[in-house]
Amino acid sequence: MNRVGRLARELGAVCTVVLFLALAAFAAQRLLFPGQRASLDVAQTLDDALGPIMREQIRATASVVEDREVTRAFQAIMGRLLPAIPAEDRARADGRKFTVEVLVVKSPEINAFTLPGRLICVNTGLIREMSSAEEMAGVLGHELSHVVHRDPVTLLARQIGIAALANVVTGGQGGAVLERIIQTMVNVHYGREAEDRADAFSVRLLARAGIPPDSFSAALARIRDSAQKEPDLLKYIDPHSPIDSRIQKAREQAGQEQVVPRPLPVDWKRIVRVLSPA
Amino acid sequence: MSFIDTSAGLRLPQPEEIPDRDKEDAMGAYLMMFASLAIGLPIPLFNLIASVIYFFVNRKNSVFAAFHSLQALLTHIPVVLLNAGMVGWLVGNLVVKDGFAPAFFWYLFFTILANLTYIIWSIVALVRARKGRFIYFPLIGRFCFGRYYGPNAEKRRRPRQWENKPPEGF
Repeated sequence: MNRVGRLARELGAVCTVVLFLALAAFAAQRLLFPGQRASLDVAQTLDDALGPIMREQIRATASVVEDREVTRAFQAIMGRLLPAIPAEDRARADGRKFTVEVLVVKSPEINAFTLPGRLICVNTGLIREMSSAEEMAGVLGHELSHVVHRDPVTLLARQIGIAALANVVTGGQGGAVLERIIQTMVNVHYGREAEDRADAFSVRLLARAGIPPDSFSAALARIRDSAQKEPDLLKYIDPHSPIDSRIQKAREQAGQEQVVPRPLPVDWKRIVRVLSPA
Repeated sequence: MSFIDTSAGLRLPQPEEIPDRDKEDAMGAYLMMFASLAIGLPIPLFNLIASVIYFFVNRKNSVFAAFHSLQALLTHIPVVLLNAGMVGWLVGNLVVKDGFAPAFFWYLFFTILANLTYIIWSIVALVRARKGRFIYFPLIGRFCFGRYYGPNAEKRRRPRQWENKPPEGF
């Protein structure tokens, strides 16, 4: 057999092995993920699994306000916001039913956050800082964006993946620093994207719900004025964009929205009084 | 002793003629792929680095070990590329995208199967090398053999003669 013939035979052998492996891999993929047509949605799977655990955890570790007036006030705000969420966003958040639970947590910290399992936590410190139910609605609109886009679970899925990857790369030896660095980069990258999207979503949602859309920028301005200034260097690893630029963007967007405002049936001053320490 | 006799055709060293040390060195070349697994680094870039170092350390000690070291090194390359693609796609999924496409899983299984095939082949090769036998991987084996036992191998092994000269026109 001449040289070309031998080369062709060897090439044929390699190609046969590669083709066999490719077919075997295809069979394995079809066997293990039979119904998968689109991308596997890690966030949806995690959201469903973590929801009940998060509810139990937050009730076990934090002091939750169980006041009837406060509950009614938040029900009234959510009652206006939830129906205003566009259908495609609801479908993205939960194809079967769209439920969101709001927990008021006793904490002086000015903060609100969303946990996996469509759970929004609002600190009493933040409630006391807001001057109206409309401003609170702006903050809740922001958090609702995290719910409909499943930001907490998406970030969590990425953090789990990165931890696993760092462990694999370093063999579990000294991977903590590498993991920390990658986590911070991902938090900043994804966090800013999600926060900017949530700001825009909130302004749109307020307008759709018949609430003045500039309430959100007003809420942000209050948070800015009351929060402690962070060191300049920390702004580079903060998952939020600088608050001044967020306020500016929210004001500009609110100016473009058309809305016929309907006041929220909430006596906000009374709610603040209920939650103020005696 | 030279094993290449061009007048009487090619005569290769037979297993009993190869010193045990050379057999062990040749076997070690195929063990390099397990080196990173042993220290917990399954990304085969580390095996590749280990193989390159091993090749450069052993290539002058014995022709038999050099042949096996080069073959082990060259067979690492496609696996490294395949696995690097896997790691890149995985990181991309984690950092940039939200989910894992069906094609990702196909590639994942393909990579796993290719690695398994490669491990099996490496075990077969290292057992043969330990026994002082030759094994030729398709496409690569022929090239490695030609490099160390081919017509120009003897000339390539000879140390280059260096002659010191004065600067031009001196």
